[in-house]
Amino acid sequence: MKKNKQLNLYFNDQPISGNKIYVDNRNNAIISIFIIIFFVICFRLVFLGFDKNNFVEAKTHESFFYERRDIVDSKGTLLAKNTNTFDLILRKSKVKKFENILLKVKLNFPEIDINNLKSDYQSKKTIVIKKNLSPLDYSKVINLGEPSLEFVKREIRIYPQKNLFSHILGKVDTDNNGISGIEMYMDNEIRDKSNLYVPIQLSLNTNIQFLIHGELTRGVKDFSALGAAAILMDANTGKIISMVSLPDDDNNRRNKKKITNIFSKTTKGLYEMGSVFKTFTIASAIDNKVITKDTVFSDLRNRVYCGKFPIDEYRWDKSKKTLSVEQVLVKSSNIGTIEIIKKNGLENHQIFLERLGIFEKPTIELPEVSQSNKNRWGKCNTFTSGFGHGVNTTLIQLTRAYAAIVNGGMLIDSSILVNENGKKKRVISKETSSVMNDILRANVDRKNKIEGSGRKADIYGYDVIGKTGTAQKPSKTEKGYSKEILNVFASAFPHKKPNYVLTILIDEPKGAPQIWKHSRREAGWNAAYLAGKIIQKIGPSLAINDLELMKQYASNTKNN
Amino acid sequence: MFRKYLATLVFLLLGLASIHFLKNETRELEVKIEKKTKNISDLKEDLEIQKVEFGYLSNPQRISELAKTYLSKDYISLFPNQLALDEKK
Repeated sequence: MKKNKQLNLYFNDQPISGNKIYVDNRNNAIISIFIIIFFVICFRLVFLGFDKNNFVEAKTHESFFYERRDIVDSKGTLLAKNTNTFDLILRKSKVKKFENILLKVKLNFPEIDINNLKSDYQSKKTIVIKKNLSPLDYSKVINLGEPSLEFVKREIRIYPQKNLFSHILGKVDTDNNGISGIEMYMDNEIRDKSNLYVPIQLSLNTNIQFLIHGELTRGVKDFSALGAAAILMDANTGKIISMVSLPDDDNNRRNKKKITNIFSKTTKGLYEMGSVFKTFTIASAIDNKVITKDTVFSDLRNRVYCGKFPIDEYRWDKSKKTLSVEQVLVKSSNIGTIEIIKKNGLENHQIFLERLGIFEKPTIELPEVSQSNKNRWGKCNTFTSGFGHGVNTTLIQLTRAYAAIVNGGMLIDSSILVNENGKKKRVISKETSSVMNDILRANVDRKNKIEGSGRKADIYGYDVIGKTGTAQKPSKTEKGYSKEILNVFASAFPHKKPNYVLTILIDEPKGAPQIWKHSRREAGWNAAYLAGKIIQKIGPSLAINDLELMKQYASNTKNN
Repeated sequence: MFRKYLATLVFLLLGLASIHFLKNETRELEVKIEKKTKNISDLKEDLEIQKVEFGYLSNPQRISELAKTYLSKDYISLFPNQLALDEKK
């Protein structure tokens, strides 16, 4: 066979022998190479087609989020929120004529001290001209068209309700870290990035808080007091509906004038609460079945001695010689209370106060809390603790203990978070609680022949129950007590099934002759009066959301 | 042999065309999604600003001051008998 030496790649020129086609090996090799190259290109194209990185366009925006979660009240009203703001700075390297810039700044921002800018200009490369620009300021700067004036965007925390919740919410620092209040207590939860759009919901009610804040502010002015505080608690859940402490400050104002006496009087301030403790003394003895509300104590004197220390009756007269248990509370008899402690047993009285959580650290979700600094129990301080002297506690613990007395006997952990369920424990029986409510009602009821100290709080339709307490404040300069007083009124309503506990504290009130035509300054003349004013205002708001209270209204209206 | 090559070639060309089509469609969808996402983000930012403004405008302190200025009345407390209970509810 003749050897084919043809180099032509044209297929038709290939040699044909009989019916067989002989394919040139070189042709095959070249075709194979092309096919391989073709497949390589195809695979590369397919690979590129499925390559995710080539699909996605470059992101045209940054996802939007703030560093801290919102805080809202029980109705969803905004209490704290992060938002963007701009600071105005001057970049020294871009300044052409400093005098011109000074003139522009002076014309547009007359409140800025030009001399400070001049001194900063000598020493700094970047000068902060104004922080937190308003939208108007922002547009003013834009219109100036000055390239050396620049904006710096940053996040700030704002509090739309201003000073209404200042003690509860607390503050954040310039790096958005919580430094006080719930901002500090729940810092990690508030910064939780997985829940940035879910607000932290508190059990507080802004409208109620506003009404209480307003009345309390008026009360501080009327009674020339150093300060005041109030707590409204749901008696059956331990949730705080309102908590006010005066004086307070607008948390939006940073590094401004310092106000003295601004600590939280509700959770931080430790006070001897006075006669409001008589309620606990009587409740303990009734629950231990050593007395009933009609048990009578006779031959009560105006002074008794504990060792060499005298304990005096307050405003003693002959009518305080013989008193029933109910009258001991309504007439606020110190000596009668001591007799009840004697009958109940000193140890039982001590155990009961401890069970009520009076000396415990508050469970509320705030970092600014104090625990009672009660020392060892002695005979004398056990007696005086019966009427709230010689033992101190916080207003929040007092409120919690009163809630337990009036709600059927359950002591519930207090909380300002809407979803938090506090622990419950029984401290007195339902029957004792019911009897105590009747006794406390007698102290407020205007129809009672014996005028109770709380009658100024008897607002029609609400059947308020409660007890006043007037305590001398310990002297700051010497041993013993000063002439200044601290007044408390612990109340609840409505009488038959109390749903709300309201406690009022007034620090160093003076007499108010412009209201009463006399200058008496006991709790009945200020704390109870203020509680009445507050209940009158908040009552309708509470009743609208409280069917039981509304029904109570309806029944009262029919009866009257 | 030629048929096989041709079939493979046609198959590959069809595959390439469909990939090209899919890729472009996907790219268009990605762009649309991006636009929508940006839109949502802008709306969220607007909503957050509106929330702040609403918080300020509905602040009871502010409303109370406005009421005192324009309504010439202080807050009026309702008494129990002024509220009615809707039994149907």
